[in-house]
Amino acid sequence: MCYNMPMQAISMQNVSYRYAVDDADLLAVDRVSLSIEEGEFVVLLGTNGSGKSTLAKMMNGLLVPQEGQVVVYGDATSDETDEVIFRIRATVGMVFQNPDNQMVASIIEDDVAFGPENLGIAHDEMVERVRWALESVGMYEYRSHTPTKLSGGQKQRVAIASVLAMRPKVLVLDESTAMLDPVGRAEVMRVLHRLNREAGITVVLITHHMDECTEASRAVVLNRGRVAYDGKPHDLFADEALVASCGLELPPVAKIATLLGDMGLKVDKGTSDLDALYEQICRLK
Amino acid sequence: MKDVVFGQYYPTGSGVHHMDARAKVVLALAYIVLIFFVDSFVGYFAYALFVLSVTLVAKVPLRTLLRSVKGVAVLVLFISIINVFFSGLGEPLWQWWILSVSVDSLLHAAKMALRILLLVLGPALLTYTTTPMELTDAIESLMTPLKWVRFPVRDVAVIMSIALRMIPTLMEETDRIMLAQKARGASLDTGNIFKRVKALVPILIPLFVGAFRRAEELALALDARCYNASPKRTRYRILRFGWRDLVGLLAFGSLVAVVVLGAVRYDFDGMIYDLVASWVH
Amino acid sequence: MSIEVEGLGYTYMKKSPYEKRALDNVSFRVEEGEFVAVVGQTGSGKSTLMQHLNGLIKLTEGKIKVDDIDLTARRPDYKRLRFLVGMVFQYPEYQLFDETVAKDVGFGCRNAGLSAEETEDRVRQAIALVGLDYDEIADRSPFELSGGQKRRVAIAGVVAMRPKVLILDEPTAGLDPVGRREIMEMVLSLHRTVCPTVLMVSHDMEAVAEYCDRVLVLSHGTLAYDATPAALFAKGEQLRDMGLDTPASVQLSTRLRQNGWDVPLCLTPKALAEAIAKALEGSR
Repeated sequence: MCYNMPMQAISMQNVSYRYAVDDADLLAVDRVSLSIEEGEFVVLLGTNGSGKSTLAKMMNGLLVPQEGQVVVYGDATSDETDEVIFRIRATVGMVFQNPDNQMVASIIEDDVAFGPENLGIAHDEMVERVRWALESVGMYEYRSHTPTKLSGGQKQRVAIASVLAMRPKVLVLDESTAMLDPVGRAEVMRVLHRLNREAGITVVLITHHMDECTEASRAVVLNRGRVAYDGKPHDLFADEALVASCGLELPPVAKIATLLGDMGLKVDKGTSDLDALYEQICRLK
Repeated sequence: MKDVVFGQYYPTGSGVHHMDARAKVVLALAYIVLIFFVDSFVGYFAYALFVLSVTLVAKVPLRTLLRSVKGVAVLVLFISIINVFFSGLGEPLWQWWILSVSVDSLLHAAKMALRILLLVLGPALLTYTTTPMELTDAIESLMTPLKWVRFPVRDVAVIMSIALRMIPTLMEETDRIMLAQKARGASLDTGNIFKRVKALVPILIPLFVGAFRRAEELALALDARCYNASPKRTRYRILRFGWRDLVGLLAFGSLVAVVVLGAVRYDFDGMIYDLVASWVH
Repeated sequence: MSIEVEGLGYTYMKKSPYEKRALDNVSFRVEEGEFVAVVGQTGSGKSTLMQHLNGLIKLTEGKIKVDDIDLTARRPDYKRLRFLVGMVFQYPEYQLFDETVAKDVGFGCRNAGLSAEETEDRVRQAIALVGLDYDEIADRSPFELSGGQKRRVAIAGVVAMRPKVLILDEPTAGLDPVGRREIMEMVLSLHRTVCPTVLMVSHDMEAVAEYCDRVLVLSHGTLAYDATPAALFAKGEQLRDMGLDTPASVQLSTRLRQNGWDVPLCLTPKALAEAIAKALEGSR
């Protein structure tokens, strides 16, 4: 037994998924192999139509690939027994794009309790879970409010709490920051990083905002259904040509670093942190 | 506009608000049923007093409560007129063609008007002091016996809950779409009936398309949150019957006593009859 | 052609427990040809302000004058106002409804009572202006287009009304980087050709710095700043207190200047990189 080996949370082997649209086939995900280790913070990048949402929905069995296999902690998502399906869904919690379309109750704590209720969790433990989940996203004081009056960022934090109450090991966020303003996005990013760091929850964040992967442990870029990049965010930022070819754009700091680097100045092109870039520029003089 | 749906709820944190919603729903039903057995001014007086005292305890402004009567004002007026002229009761004071007015018809009309008004005020008080969410929970809980006949109580409750949750969102969306089409020069409030119906198309189609889009994501979200996972679904919210509910029951019990006994013991109606008769003569 | 706003105030749901003051004593003037950004946190009153400018919200406090239309008049000509000031809402693609793209784009023209020929002319032009191909797209259903195309079609629906002022509420919301850039370039070209005056609500400070001449900052319903991007972003700290970001280039150039570098305050990465290169050459 090797103790250093990280546990595999999700493993996807050669998965493909095609939608049939008006007789024409649309190959959304094309032979992708990807494995996500426990404790990672993975940002899955790609433009609209790159297949990233389809890939996300395969991670908890909402979609089952037509080819290849997805395994979540030893369970294959193609397994059709209820027990396995619900175990996978409770293990890999999924948050969607529009917070308004994933809340089922008019009071926040009732919404958070919905998952545990479905799983048949005993009342005392459920109350504890609802409390923990709302505290983890900093929304406990709003528990008896109605979600209608919350800001976008607050709503999305509640949506995260609603999934957390099922005690998942992995959180998959399918473009959950796309509709938020910068303040809301920052709130959600802070919560995700804290959950990853303190609660050890594996995070898979699907987005087209490249700046959201600056603090991630790993960046994966999807382009036309295929993996175009899989590695450290730093090396992705350093390769502007690749970023552009995938329809993405460097975050401003990396853009400045790249422009300076292209001028032949001694600057690390992959820099995405403002302070770090400032230091490097100061050393140029 | 988006507050209208929940606007009915008037939060004051009073004892009435804190009552078990099931108790309130049962009381409201009893209130409605009982009013059809009331046929005396003593009874209506007791009913009015009951509504008034509950309103005071609930700290809901009387004016706010009376607003709920606005909607039935025309109906009340209509029924009163019919009753005054067509009831054919008692000795006519005035007669023309098939129309006649008598002291009895006047009193009868007044009773009918009171009945409708009180019929509206009671349930209005319920909605002012109980959130839609609590009402859903109460109805679900009261429907529990239906499980024995395989009625999907749980699913119906989730559907009601989602509907309540979505109404403010959809109203917000309707508002936005209306504004957007108005900005493109659409006029929604002019022209004849056909023009107005036609003007709804640019609003309804985007609204339906949007609702389908939402439904799709909602369906995924329900699946992702393990809906239907366990046959033994548990409940987060446990309704508890408490002392406040007892107070409510007792208050309502006194109302019943007054309505039943008052009508027998006091000839209140006779006094009023004499009063009105002497006044009109 | 100008917009004058003076002492504008607005309260939602007056005299109810949900009363909310949305705007308070807002005054400014926009001249023809300006590209103005309106920024501020969600709930700062931006949408309320914009909806006043084309009469979607009735004026209750203060004065507004758009061109020669005085909204304090007893019966202002709202119909003409709505064609003078075109309004593109957030996620405008969610308002598409008609069977074909051409019909949908022509909705505003038909409401104005324009002839079929005139409408077709304008629809053709508007579709071209938003960068789509009329012959390819006109007869298709708007619902079968891609997300980016839908948004362009929705914007074309407003452009076809030939407004002199174009108001856009976060035109790039929810788009990916390529989509964002394309829409911003399109807005810029509209500004240069058919709609001289543009007011754009945005949360994207990088875009504001790159494209706009002037920025109005709303905070809790009041106009906190009215300045050029350069002057505004120089106030870094105060902006952060209002929940607004400062572009990375501005932050870096400010810090370099404080450290004695000979660089101007730069609004874009390109400007900053060039300024740094120049400063380095100068110091050698």
